[in-house]
Amino acid sequence: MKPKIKTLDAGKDIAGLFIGIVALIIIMSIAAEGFLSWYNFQNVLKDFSILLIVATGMTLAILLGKIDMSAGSVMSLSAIVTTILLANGVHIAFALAAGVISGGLIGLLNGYLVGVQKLNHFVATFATMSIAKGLALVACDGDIISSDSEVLLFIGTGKILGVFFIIWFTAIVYILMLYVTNRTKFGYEIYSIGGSEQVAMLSGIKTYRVYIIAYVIAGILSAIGGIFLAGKANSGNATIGDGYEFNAIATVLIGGTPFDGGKGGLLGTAVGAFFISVLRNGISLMGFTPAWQYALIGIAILITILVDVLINERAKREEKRRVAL
Amino acid sequence: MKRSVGFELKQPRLVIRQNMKRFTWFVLKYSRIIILAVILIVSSCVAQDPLQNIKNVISLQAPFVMIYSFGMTLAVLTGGLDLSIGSVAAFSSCAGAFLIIEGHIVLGIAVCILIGALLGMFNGILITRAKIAPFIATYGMDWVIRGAVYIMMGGAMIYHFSDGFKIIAEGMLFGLSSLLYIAFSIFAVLLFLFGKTIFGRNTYMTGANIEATKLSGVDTNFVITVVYMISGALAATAGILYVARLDCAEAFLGRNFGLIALAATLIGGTSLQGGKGGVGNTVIGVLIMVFLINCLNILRVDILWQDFVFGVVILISAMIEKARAFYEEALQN
Repeated sequence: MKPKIKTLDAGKDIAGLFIGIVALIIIMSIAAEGFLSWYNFQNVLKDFSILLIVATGMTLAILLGKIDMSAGSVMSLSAIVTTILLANGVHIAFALAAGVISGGLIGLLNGYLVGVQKLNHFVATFATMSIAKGLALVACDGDIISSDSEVLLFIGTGKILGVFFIIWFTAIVYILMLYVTNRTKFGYEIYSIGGSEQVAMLSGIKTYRVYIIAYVIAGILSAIGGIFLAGKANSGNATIGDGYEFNAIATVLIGGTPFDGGKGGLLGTAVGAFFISVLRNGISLMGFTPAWQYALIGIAILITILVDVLINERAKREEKRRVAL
Repeated sequence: MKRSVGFELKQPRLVIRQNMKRFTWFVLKYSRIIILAVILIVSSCVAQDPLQNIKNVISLQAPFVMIYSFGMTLAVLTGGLDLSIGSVAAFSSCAGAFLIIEGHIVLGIAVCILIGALLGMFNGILITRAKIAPFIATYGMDWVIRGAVYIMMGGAMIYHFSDGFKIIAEGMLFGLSSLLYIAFSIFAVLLFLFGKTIFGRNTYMTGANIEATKLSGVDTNFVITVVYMISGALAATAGILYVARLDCAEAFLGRNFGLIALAATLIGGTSLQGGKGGVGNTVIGVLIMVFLINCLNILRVDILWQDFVFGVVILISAMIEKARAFYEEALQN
């Protein structure tokens, strides 16, 4: 029999999030001018796709009970690598491949440190975060690198059948990863390691292999997100992905995948990503200065996490009481 | 038959191997001192006036790093960490600078430290009451506070402070800077607080095993909140000292405080698991970090390499800690 995994703990978790999204859309459409337009909807979807592709990788890490702090810096690194190679006249295919590989290598390092060396996952990925950021800074010398590649511009802003390329690509990756986490042996292994690493190891799962593959996937997906960001402006700089790891972690948490690991799944992540991208879009449309946006988005995300954690705590307490009875 | 012969031959080898293990463990145990010595030797070989260089680093650069790293160390001791120290330093010192530029020096400094403590208290409440994981709570707060500083300063700077204020960072006593005296008095107070008092014991216990500590009747929420308050106050102190030293308060202050402090804490040997290490360890960690930065500057390495180097330092120190624990266990068996 194929292993069947409950992707969502309970329908009501996501139901609450849907109510939140509807409320948010109503508030934003009153407060922000031009929020309810087709043009803006496509913009939201584009931001949503970039956030979702990064958060998909982050979900794998958090399902394992770990975290990937390096996501944002990997985005910057891959954007810089791609644009620098393009600026030096390298063929677009090689430039894109190099960008993706740079992310994969950082992911490999993460996976090795966490899975084989058994370092604390936070320290390891925090260190690779500053390594990736440092490499990006050194590579671009602190400058903005602009490229004149039409292919990169197409990746960032082009449309196929009236829908942005980014959205198509993310949809394909997302569905693929949904299949991988819910229907394959690898996905099953991720859930069981997240549930209890000891038990997973004793039942014969090569945990280090799962860690390495999961972190490499997370690195590659972040790198693709970085290339999308570079494509949007057809240029790259060393701070392009700053803060994305925070947004991605928040997305995953709001989507019902707690830090304990082994619970939740990608379905919730998509809903969480939509929530956060609507929030970001609305706040920037309301005409706040960038400084205000910086603070407001942080506050909003922190409050959402807070509400989420409080709801979870109450659910846990109730469950405990039920067990005690 | 073959086996028994082999066993007899192996005996001296086993002794050698045991000694090798002991040697490796010894090297790993004192690795911090060795690393510090290597860095000092390299920088002394390159610097034009080695003694003056060492004196400068210790009396002018180390005190700042020490003060804010102590805060990080205390947070790590409780099993969490405080990534918001950079923005707390910026926010509270900018707020204090508004008063100091008007002439209210003592009031300004007091307000600055108070704001730091309040922001730290907010961190503590988020962690203990709302039960958000420490690094998410403090990382989120880092964003929020940094945004608040940008709003407060609006892209402007505050500069040209009075001499009465600048003296706290520029004064000299017996050939050493006043900064060093401030850092060392803070160090002494913390050493006493966390080494000799019940509160310090409780902090270590909370870090080692929070459930057991809670069950033995200690208010762990109070302990954690106070530790984050101290961390915030120390960050604010470092911030206001920077303002006095640079004669300028700006919103960008302390962008990589968190990274440096975490690196210094970890390489000093304070474990992220909590309950192990202390401010004494961090002094060595800070010395390693500041001399490393100094060494890179002397060798004319581009400043852009710093992030990369800090990341590598964090990784290496985590690996050393891991290897030391491994050899310690092997020797005990």
